Amino acid sequence: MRKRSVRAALALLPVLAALAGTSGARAHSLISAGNVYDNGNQCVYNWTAQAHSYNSMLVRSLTDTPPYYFPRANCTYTNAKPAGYLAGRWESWKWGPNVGAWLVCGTQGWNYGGGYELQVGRSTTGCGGGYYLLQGGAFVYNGGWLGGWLTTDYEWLWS
Amino acid sequence: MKRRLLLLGLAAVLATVLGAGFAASRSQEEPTHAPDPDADEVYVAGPDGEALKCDGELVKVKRSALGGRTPPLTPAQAAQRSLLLQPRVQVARCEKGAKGKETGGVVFVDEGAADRP
Repeated sequence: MRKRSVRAALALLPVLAALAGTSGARAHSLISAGNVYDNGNQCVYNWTAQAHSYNSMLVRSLTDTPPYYFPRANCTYTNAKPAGYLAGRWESWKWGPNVGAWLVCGTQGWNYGGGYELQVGRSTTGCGGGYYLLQGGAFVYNGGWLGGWLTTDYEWLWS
Repeated sequence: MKRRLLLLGLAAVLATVLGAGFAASRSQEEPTHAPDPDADEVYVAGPDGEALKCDGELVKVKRSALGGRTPPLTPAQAAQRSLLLQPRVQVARCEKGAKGKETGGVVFVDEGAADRP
């Protein structure tokens, strides 16, 4: 009898593994990244990523000009800034089938930092199962805030 | 042999039920468009994950209430206000007036405090 129970459990394993695999395949990150501002001297790089239960974005201040002015290369070199000159924020959006529109599930306020890179990330409990995407805004201050927003693709998340 | 077949049959039924449940949960309507970056007002999710209703009505909030599309502070202001630390995640909830009655407005609260009475 015990042997049979073990066999039954073994018979169920592939099924459960298949189900776990299907949902596990969704537990990857969706990333949207690129320069959202480029005037030659100042570039603003935005990296926005939605993981299963963690939202993050990164602001990077770059420039074409190296410390000794040669060789110039498009948005290649880091361009450090004083404290408060980098800012980033993300918004987590969930599709609302009942209203046929995107709902803001949660947002983290503006984060400010210095140097050439600012990382903003938080785990999030989410708003229940549904299709989610993340928007991230990356800005660098240079007489005014320069930068822009990126949006990831959407994917189904359980949380 | 008969029992083994029965067990296999049960396993198949269970797999079918689980598979159907999984498929049903995923068969929600897929998004038809991306969020409009220029929208002045947006829907927000409530505690149940659906579009927030306050005082029985679907509500929208001003985009600016979420923090705006560009940073609101200059670097000097940010440094002065010690805002370099990461603020908490905020979620939308219905504003409540006297006696706990919903006013129809929306407030943003820290995620951790959102579901406390």
